[in-house]
Amino acid sequence: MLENQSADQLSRRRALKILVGTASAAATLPVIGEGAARVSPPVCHMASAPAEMAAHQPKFFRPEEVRTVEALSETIIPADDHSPGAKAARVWEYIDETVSDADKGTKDLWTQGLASLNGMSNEEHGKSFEDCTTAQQVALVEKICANEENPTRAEDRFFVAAKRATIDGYYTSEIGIHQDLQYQGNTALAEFPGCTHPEHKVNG
Amino acid sequence: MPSSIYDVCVIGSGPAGGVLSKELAEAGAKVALVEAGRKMTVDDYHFHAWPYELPKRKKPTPYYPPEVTQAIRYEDCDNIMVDRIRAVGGRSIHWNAVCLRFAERDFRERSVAGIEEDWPFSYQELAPFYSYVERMIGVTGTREGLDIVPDGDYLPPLKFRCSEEIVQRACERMAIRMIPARKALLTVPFDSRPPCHYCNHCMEVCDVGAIFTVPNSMIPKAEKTGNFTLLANRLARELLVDKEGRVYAVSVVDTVSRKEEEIRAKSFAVCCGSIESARLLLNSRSRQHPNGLANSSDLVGRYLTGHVNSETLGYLDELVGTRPVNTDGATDHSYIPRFNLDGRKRDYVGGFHYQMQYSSFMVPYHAKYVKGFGEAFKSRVRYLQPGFFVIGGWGKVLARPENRVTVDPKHLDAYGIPVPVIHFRFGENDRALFKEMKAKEEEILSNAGVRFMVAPNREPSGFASHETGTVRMGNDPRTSVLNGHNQAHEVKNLFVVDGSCFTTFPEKNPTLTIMALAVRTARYMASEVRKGNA
Repeated sequence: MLENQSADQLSRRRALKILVGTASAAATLPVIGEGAARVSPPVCHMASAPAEMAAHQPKFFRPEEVRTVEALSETIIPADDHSPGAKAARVWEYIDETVSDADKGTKDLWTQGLASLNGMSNEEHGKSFEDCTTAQQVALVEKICANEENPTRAEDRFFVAAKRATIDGYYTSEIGIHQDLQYQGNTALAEFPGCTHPEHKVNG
Repeated sequence: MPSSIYDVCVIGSGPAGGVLSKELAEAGAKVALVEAGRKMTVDDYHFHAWPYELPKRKKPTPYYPPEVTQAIRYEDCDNIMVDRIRAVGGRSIHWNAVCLRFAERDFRERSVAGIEEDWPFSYQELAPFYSYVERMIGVTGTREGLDIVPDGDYLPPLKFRCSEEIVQRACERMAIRMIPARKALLTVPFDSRPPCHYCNHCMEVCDVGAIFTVPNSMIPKAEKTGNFTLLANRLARELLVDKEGRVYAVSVVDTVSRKEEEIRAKSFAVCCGSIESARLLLNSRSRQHPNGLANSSDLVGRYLTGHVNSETLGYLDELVGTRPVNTDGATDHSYIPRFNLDGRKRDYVGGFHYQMQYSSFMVPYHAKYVKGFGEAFKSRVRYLQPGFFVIGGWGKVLARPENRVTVDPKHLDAYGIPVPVIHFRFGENDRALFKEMKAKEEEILSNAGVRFMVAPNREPSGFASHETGTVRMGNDPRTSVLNGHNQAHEVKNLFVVDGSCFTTFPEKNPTLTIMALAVRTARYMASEVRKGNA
């Protein structure tokens, strides 16, 4: 399994990337021949981007819906030993943003899907989805995920939409990219090493 | 002669128009390069930005303005898309820079395979222009001695990733060649441009210009001649003809001020891409050319073709679960040339080839296909990601007259110009070819040790930005619009130089051939201008 990475290590690694992406990239790239001018240095927008986005104000979901979306996304991609989950990655903000831009059909799917999920949880446990225990939440979502490969009922389609939106939001987040997947790229290299494993090669 | 009359007016600043303008300006012609889009600036791009730093987690694509993408009608169409860029540099600012020479046989489909038509010239005639372009733009690759994809002049090759080595091993067992990618991408400093820094954002414009673009590499050279004028934000409305039926001006609308202008020149070169070039000719109706310019044969817009596409994602057993490493590189580093010329009989004609690892390694594409949710789902996504491999097929689509671009005067764009209408159906041959292309890519992945495979699309789709045909070349004016010098049979001072001129289209990416034709046309135009013929 992949090793865990502390927040400190992570921020140091990222800080290095930021530097590599800006002025110091020139130093890491091979020296260009006499008389050759660089078109422009590698540009990295990180340096000028705000370190943290301002707190997100819901554009589409009502406050009580926000709590359900947050809990549902965390049920789909939960925190585990390896990395934080969708809640810490604030995936609900991404979902709110995309649903607020979407067509009426998608908006209705979410509004009705969340209401029906809460309806199920109220019926079975006498409380909203977000107030249920993790085990109860998992059991409730299991009821709507069975037909994800061939979604026909409204709840099937809602599960597929919720799962896709959670995936999109989580794996484009800082947590998803750096902590969970430990993606090593998007950086400037002087040389691309290629494969160094003889066992992978044709004549290895 | 008033100074406002140019020798040549080039319309469209993509690879065709960009190279043509630079070559003509260097040959001493006064050139106006008209472009409907605007100049992109550094603020239009978000070099190396992380998704979470961007609004909606997406890099904006201002070179696909909605006024263009929405001003197109698909009528009677299979699953295809024609995406039209509108910006200075055209397609060259959003391309993967694959540069493949067409094979000798690709110019002789009728003679060799009994299909379509032969081009009006041979590979040998175009070869020096291929060389010229390769030496001008810088192409990485290796010399392999394969007839199906002739060697060119190359910079050092890209190194294979582990995943590519593993797949190459599988191909070897299947007697399929997998060779280093051939792309207009610098692996060493070249022509005052620094080499690649392997960040994988090739398709989003390279921040240092390690990938060839017209704005980086052609326009500065054209400007240096003092013979070159770039007229951006001018959308061509129609070409205007004198009483002899020769073009004397292009009427344009300034997309910023909405002012109408006429740009006059002795010769005109239309380089707007297969859709827009056909549209411009069809919209240029006059007493002399009632059916559209150079269209008495009714061939303008016809023989629209492009590539049929397939794609499969697989997760290599040898790499899943391994520690993530930086595999970004320069999108695809490898290439599988056409391999179906093995003498075995097939139920289709034509070829296909594969490109691999051209997608971002940041995104776990498989997540949507991994069943379930929760901890098991999350760890499975993470486990599979280092094994990611994508293989995409590009296949030949037979050029048929019924597949075409027309214009519809009832539907106008934001500037009151009739929009292009696309009519396109895949034929039986195209579907049979697609079937084998798809099956073979799955077989390659299986042989490479892939157990988890994802096929986003099981039906033929097109064209991966590779639309060609519509204003085709040929020797016979009854079956072609242009002669073998990209010159209209009917209008001697009209040239059409982009992919629309292709007589036929093999499986290979079109741009190197488009640029070679641009150089060849520039030489011809310069000599015709000198002789007073154009």
